[in-house]
Amino acid sequence: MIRRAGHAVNDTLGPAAVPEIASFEGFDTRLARDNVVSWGGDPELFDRFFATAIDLDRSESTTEQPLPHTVLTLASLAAWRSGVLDLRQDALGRLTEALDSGSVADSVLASALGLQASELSDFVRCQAESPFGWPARGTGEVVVARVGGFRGLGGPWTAPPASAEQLSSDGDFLITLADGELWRLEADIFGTRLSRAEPGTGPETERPSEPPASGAWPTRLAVFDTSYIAWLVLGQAA
Amino acid sequence: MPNRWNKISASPTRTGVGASHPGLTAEDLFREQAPQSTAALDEKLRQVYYWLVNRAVISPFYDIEFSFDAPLSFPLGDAGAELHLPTDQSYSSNVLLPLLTFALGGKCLLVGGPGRGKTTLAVLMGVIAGSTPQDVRRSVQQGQPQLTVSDLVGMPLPRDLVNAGSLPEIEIAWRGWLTRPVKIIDEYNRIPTKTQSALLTMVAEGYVESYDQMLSTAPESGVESWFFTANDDAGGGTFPVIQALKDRVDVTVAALGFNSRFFDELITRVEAGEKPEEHVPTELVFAPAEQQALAAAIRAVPVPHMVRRQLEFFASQFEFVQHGGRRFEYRTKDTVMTGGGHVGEAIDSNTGADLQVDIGAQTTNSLSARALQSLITYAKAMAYFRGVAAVGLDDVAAVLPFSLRGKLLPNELHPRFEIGADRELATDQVSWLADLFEQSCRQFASLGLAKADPVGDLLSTFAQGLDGLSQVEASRRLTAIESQIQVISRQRKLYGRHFDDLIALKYLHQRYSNYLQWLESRPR
Repeated sequence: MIRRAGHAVNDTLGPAAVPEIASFEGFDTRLARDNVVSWGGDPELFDRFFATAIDLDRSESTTEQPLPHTVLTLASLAAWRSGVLDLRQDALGRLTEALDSGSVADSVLASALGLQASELSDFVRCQAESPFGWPARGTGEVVVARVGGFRGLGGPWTAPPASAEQLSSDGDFLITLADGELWRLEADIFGTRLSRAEPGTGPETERPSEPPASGAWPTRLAVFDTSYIAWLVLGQAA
Repeated sequence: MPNRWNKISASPTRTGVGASHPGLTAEDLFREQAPQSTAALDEKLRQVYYWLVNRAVISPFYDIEFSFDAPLSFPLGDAGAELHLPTDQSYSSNVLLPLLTFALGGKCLLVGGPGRGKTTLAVLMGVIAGSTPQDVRRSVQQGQPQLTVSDLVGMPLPRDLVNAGSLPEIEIAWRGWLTRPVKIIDEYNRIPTKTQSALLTMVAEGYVESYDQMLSTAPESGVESWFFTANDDAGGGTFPVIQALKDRVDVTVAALGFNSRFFDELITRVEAGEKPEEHVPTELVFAPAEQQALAAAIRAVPVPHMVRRQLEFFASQFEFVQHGGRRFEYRTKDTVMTGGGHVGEAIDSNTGADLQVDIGAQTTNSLSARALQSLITYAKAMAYFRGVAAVGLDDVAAVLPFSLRGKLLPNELHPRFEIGADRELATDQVSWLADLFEQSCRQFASLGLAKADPVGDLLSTFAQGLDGLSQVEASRRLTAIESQIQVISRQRKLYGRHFDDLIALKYLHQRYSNYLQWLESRPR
């Protein structure tokens, strides 16, 4: 079997009947989907989480159309959930605000992230500690994501990863391939971004974009001689 | 529009160039992303390239090769042929170089036999620049022996010719093609010499003059590209192309032949009666502001110091010829050529240097500053197209053979072209020039010039300025210059690279000497 890149949080998602998303007044959902793609997200996951959340909001709300504030919150959460790394701050901010004010039902917010309503507050707390914070963490080491892959099979690399070192902030790694090429990996619980790195990129040249997480969520990147896939592993809490 | 024309390559067209978008918000999700941002223009350019090679022109050639490491090579036949399988994205020169010409506003000569798609490719560039296919086709100037200057630029109105009291009163009906962003001159080697001179003013100066009236040929974007076609660039054609016009051509690209394995596509086109220029997707058309931003972004790509040094080293090889003259400054190929001598013979008479090692001995001329400018601009365009932050040696190596073709001429008397396995390089200029640059890079490395560059150090010290420099320090630097000249003087063999270094050292010596004299002559 060929192992492919992906995120553990998506591995357990079964097939789902995705309700069709209609555009709302002032919101072009097709455009949002295109933007998700251009920012590295998975359009099918975005459709799935956004449509499910909107559908649930409609069934629980008294208004015929979702409020603009609700649409923005759910779109941001669903886009982040689909892998758009750069929306994490915005989505977390909106989630915290909605939970505090009660402007959007917990169940609706949770469905935009693929969580149970009871897990939401735990999720926010875990995310405050690390980009890999997740309520159902379990014990022992957990593979959070598989990254890379052989170019011939749709991945980005022509040589297997040889080594990886963590840059200053959580989820930021420098990967050296067996042929000497350097790649940078940025990741969180929902998404990854791989880009070619310039020689000279290293822990000493990188400024942290956010403070490193507490010892509760240590991460490392595992590479193997026999695989083009690298594993992003969440270690045991310190 | 038929679907087969409409397919555009999905972004990103290069893996690993995904940019981050810090500070994204939910509002951005529902906002149209600015299509004119310079960051997106290189992606659009790549999409145009892939549309051209996959849909528009049948060109399955990948002769501009890029590899992360050594490509997989297969020896073929018994004459030393090799097929390389590159490991990074590689490109078809006869599509990519015209596209880069459009992007940066350059001048491209497409050579090749009739029916190879030279004009079609040029017309496609015109459509990508925003003109309709009909307008572009109408604007193509067909070179022919009776083409006059008036045919080319327009003519005075007969009414004015009769009534005008002076030249400024004559109004010229300028031809519409003159101000198009993409200008196409078909078979330019069939144009009479006088008309070629008028063309030269347009190409070189960006304006056209007739009856004391002037017209700027710049389009709305300010970025104009020229495409010339010819059946060969070796002097054939009805009229010889004037040297000044030839010299203005930035790149020369051969239109490659048709690959018979793609016959089905040809039949489909015959049956459908379709022309690719009529089916350019509107998303791939560049607005004038985009063309302006594209050209500016290309010019802004930096050339790192080490790439500049390697280029300096390469360019320094070609001016010097030991027996070119008596005084040191005149020992150049240009002295021989302008004096009516034979450069090949002057090179041959030099027994003091090893012809196999002397790269400069392989050419009969040197590189002009204009040719080097073109090379740098196209290397920047190549780096920009590939989405890399700065020009690399591989970008230079990729464009150099096309940029210097017809400008750096092989010395047919050199042993390399007369005997042995390299004889075919005398006619395959692209392969020869690529090899020449490779040789130069190897020499640069073996001489250890990346680590030590004493002449460069002396020049950098001087570049810091003379203000406040003490007499003692100026004298110390003069001694350092003389020592450096002494080091070169002790070497028994003299090569092109020494010539440029020695001329630069003499220049420095003069500047410091003059400064010292000025210091000493100042009233105390």
